[in-house]
Amino acid sequence: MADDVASLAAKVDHLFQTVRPHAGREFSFEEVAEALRAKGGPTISATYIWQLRKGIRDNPTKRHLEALAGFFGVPPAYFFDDEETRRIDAELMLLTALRDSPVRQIALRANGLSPKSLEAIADMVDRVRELEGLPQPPPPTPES
Amino acid sequence: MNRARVRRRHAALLRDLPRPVPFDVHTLCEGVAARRGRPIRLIPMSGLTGMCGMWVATDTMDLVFHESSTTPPHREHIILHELAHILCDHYPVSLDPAERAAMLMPGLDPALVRRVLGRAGYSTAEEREAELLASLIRQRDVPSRTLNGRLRGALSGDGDG
Repeated sequence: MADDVASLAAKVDHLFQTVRPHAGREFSFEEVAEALRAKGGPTISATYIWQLRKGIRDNPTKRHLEALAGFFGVPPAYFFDDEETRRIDAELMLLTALRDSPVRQIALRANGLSPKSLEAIADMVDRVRELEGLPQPPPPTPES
Repeated sequence: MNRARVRRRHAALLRDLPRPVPFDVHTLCEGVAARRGRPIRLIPMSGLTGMCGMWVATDTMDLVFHESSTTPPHREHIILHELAHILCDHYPVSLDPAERAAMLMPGLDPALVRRVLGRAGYSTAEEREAELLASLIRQRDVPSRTLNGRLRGALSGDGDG
């Protein structure tokens, strides 16, 4: 049970860290509470959201979780389905990599991307900045 | 885009494409890059599941990541597919962030992806076009129905009638 508490707090914490209004700063607890209120969702105080993130409270209702998930743009299953958590985390990782990279367009041949593939893409996107600064390596010499 | 227009567009693209002899995909990419005035970097990678290649464009260059642990013909085709996207200029013109989000990050709210990236996406129609053009580039030297094509085929000894 202690693990579950820790992981709920860790997930809420992760969402705050990755899903940001601007590259520079996180959403504040007040902003989240206010946005949920404005959307007519369940009433959750800023303090309660803070407590969830810190692991002080671990008893959110289903509606609380749905509202939080909705705010951060992830499915509610993110909070209780391990497989979904892994997949969404990989997608968030890619989203973060893209946000901070010089990549303007991205296109790939893919059929059903696994979390592992998504992580690989995020790694490649991370490498782009470094590659951009390097000189073009000589191409493999064809037999002449 | 209808079929006839796609055919005309491909014919024009193929006509203007460098034609390295013997065919070599690296040389081809270099030629295309020189004409576009934008470097194309081919970056091999390995061990990617369900993914063969990826084209990434920055403000200054195009990067083609491609699976290296596969057969040379497959590797070549992967690179050609991505090159075909570049040649068709697919990405700057078709802007559909929601579609790209659905493909790459289907679990995330498209509004979130749009907010964070605010950039363009691509469509399955373009995937099909790139696949088609990739094949055409490679098949250019196969004898065609034109007289020149038949002659070229006869002279190179691999004509298929």
